[in-house]
Amino acid sequence: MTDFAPLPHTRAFELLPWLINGTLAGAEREAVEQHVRACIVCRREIKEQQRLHVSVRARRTADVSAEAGFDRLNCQLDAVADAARPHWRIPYATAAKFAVAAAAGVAVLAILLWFTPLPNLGPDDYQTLATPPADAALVDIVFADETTAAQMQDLLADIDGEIVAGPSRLGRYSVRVASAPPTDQQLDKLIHVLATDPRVRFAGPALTDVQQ
Amino acid sequence: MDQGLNVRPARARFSDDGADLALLERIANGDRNALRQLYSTYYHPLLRFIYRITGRLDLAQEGVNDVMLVVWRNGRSFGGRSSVSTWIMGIGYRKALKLLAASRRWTDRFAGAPFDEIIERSDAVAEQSDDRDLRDLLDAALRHLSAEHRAVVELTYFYGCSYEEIAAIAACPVNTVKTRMFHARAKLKKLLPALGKDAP
Repeated sequence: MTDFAPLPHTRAFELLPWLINGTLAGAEREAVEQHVRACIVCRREIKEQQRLHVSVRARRTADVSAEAGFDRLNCQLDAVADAARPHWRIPYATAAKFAVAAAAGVAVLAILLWFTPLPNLGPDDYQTLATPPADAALVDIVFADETTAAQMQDLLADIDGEIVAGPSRLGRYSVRVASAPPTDQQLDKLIHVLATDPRVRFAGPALTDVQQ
Repeated sequence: MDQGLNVRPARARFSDDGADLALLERIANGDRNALRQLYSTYYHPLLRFIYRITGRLDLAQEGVNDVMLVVWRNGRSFGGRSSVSTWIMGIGYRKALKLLAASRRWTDRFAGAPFDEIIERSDAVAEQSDDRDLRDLLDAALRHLSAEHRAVVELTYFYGCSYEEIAAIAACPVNTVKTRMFHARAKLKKLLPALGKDAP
């Protein structure tokens, strides 16, 4: 006795492939099997489908190595990973190498400089920022006590002069009076003019170094 | 059940779902060794399946790697609504159909001897036909089915899938699977009269 409803022929017929491959289960399988027992058409179809089943399973499968296929996939994954990697990392890595090389170069230079003897410079071989160039004239000026700062500036403007040192304890200023080298005659004339100027108490050629 | 019918062959399963799940979990964590193992398990089933649908070995090889690339990328999103094998074969099915559609735009896929000649040869040698002949004829006959029909025949008789599994793989209703198989059988019966030669 069975506890399931008999299947119509069309439904049983369409399920035969899964009866053959063994995947029909439970009441559905029981119902199909019951139908097949009584149906000559289905029994004939089962024979045909069994031949088809055997033939399909016997068909050759391509004999291709999985290893070669996986190697290709692996390369594909590497390429995808490279493409996904942030681009800044590559320049960073390259820059790091250059930084190491540059640091090594600087260290070598420092060592070379350390062991290189310095030239023995005399006082005439260099000049400070306050030292007038060789082509300029220096005069010493002591301004009159009543001369104001503004009058001092006016006088310096008149002679195209520039204070480069001073005042000393005696009130002496060293003044560079021209960028072009004046002749001795011109310099004497300038000093005479300055000496007669009421804003000046003393004027003369610079006698000492400008450094105070 | 009448044992004389002998209708309960072993199913052609090729993987163990528990082992597949463990591999998939490792793959989701970026383990390429796990991918290699899963690849080895599924390479030939996928290669055959895609080859049977596309009819081209080069497309099948390309398809297998496409499928496993999807598995590598989407392993974490596997929802467990089906077995791993059903999921992977489903990806393979869709890849195969896409590859076939693309290749059809450029090539005459089944260029070769006209099938009518094969049928005539089949009739002429029907008395001496053996299983090998039937397999050769079956190859030719299956090529005259649609890709969807071929897939159902292959999944049913080679891979031993239930119609529910096939529905999951093909992403269609179970009734569609049954209908496709019904029409595939009817067409094969016409193309392969040798199938019924031994029937009582």
